[in-house]
Amino acid sequence: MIRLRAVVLSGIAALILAVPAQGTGVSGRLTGDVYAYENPDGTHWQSFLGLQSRAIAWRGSGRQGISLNSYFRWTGDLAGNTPDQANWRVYHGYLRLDHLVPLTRIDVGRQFVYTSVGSAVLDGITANIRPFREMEIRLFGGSSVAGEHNDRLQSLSDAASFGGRVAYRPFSSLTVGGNWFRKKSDGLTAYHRVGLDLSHDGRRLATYGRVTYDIEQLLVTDVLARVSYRDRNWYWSSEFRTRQPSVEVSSIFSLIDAVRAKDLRLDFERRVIGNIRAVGQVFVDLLDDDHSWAASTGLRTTAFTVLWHHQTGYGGDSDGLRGNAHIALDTHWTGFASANLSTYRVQEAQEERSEAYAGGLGLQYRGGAMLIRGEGQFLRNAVDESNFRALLSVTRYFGAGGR
Amino acid sequence: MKSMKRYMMIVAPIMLLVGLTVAQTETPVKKKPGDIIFSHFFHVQENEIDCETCHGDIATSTENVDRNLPDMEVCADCHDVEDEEGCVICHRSPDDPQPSVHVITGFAFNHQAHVERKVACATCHAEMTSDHPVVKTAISVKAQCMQCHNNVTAESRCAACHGDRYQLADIHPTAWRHGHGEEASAREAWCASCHHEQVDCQDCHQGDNLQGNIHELNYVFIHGLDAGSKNIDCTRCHNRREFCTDCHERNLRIPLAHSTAGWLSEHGRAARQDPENCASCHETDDPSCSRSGCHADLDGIRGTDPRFHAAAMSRFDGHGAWHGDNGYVCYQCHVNTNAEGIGFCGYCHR
Repeated sequence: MIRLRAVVLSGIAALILAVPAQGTGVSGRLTGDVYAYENPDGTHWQSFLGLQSRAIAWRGSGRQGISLNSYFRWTGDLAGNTPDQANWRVYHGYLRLDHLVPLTRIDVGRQFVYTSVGSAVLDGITANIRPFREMEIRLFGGSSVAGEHNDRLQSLSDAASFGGRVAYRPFSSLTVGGNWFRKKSDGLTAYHRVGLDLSHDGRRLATYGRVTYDIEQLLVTDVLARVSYRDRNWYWSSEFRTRQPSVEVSSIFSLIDAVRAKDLRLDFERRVIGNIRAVGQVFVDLLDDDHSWAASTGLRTTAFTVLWHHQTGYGGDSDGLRGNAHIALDTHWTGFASANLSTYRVQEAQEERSEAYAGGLGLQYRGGAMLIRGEGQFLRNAVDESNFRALLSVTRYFGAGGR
Repeated sequence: MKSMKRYMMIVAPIMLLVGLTVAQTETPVKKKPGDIIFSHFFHVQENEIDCETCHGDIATSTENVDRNLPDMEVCADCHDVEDEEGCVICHRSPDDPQPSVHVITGFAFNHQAHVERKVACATCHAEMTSDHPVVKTAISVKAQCMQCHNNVTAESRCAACHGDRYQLADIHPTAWRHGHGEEASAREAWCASCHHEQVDCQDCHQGDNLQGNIHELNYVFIHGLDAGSKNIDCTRCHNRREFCTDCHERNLRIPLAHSTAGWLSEHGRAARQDPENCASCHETDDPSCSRSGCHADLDGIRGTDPRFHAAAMSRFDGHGAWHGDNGYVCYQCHVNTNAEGIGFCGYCHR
């Protein structure tokens, strides 16, 4: 195991020192949060310190360039009540080599990779090749990152993961993609899938379809079809999905003859007048011998949202009302508030519904390169607990050079 | 009949999609090239002519409708425009010569403001100064704009460039969040035109929901509803095994359903319906399912205990990867006796 922290910090320092050579620069943000709340196990002052940066080390002619992109975070409890929580987390830290090899972009280091058949945070290498305008090939490989050991490199024998995507765009609005992803964790194959997807984004009508085949389970695990329409006043989207529950093949549950779910979903949004939009959603989940459905509707403007939500079926039933306000007080200050009320029952055997409330009230300042946000939160559950929470967040954006 | 139905469930939506796509896919239009033949590479790179020589009014241009392309009089400073035999050098149709086409975009762009801030022409028009003789795009792609319009060097409000033409809700309606993963996979470049790739993904996908941006604040109380149904697919963002157990184990909380009287008889159905939910707490090395005796392979005789993996067993037939790997999931229940006719090995090796 190799500690990543020193490697990433050294790389960033080296690249920052390269500034201000011609074409180089560094930009990013430093964020500090303190989240104070009380739980049955005591008072917490959960703290977060995050640094996201992009350092351009060299810029050549055209698109050529070298940059280091990083994002990591320290978490800890200033009250010392959650000793297991203090940790470093490297979200990503990769060196990008742009067009040093013709028509190719290469990322080396920790990075988030995704295709339509899987995703992972990977310590490895990705190559994006564009042999001609209509085609893009992405290949990646490395060791997947375990969430609980985020600050370490996993060995290839435990976590070797690789895959790729080939996308072909005969027209700018149409993409046909082939995907492949083999992910390994804890020494066992998590999944090994291939898939095809098709995406068409016309002026008003958009379609998306995806088929995923699991090579380990030898079956089609996921089929998704979506059609959506939008114009100046309307948006609607309908979706059908049939999916085999996805359990890593290293799990004992991968042996169960699981029931395939069939989901139907309809979303709409209608501009009623000016900036006021009516929104709604209906979702139905069909199993062999059971089903559940959910619906929500409400109004939305640029500053306010009010939504009612109902859900019933094998997962339990609930009704919820949600309101949000986000009001610009002047060019720098924004006030915001939220309120949530839910009544729910998580199983049929529960005779009376439980209730949960939550609310928040806050103020945000954005000026120069600073973003400061303060918020008070209130949560209450009749069965469980209630508490007040306070959040203070300060973000400093920075940048130098780079032109 | 059942397999036919299943087949149709898969094929029908695909056929529908392909049909819709073919129906609306535009026939590629062969755009007629403009009349002007012009090589930036020849002028800028080979002859080192300044941009201002041809685009003389650019420093005072404040609107995107300003025509910042040179008239023929400007060309005449270097070219002999009176020479009729030389028309073909610059015009594809010398018998019907036309001026260069001025493409008006919908963006609010102020050249003067950028020139005053000493932004080099190549910052936005990098392709114009490249070594490639043929330039395909004269105007910067949006990702290049965002290099400076990052809220530090310059503002990044949508309206700064788009004016009132678009609102955020036009680009991202309420339902957008549900399907944005597929969109990001299929059209990564489109997302990257506004979002700084991995940073904006990870802010949400690996964030802490401190401000209730992803789930409402009381979600901690009601998340069991979504976890128990399939309305929201938790695994799109969360590795449930790591994410759920972090809180449930620390606070010693089990799902309420587990404590009901009928759970013992009901849990098999629940596991078949939603094994993802079970797997978020009970994992391969969790002995509560297999080693407590309930699902253990006690007699080692093939097929006598159909309570587990009845229909899914076919994939383990033959010598698969599992056969020589003692870490494989099979051996959580079965004992590798490594001997013919005995126990698990004896299922096949008689």
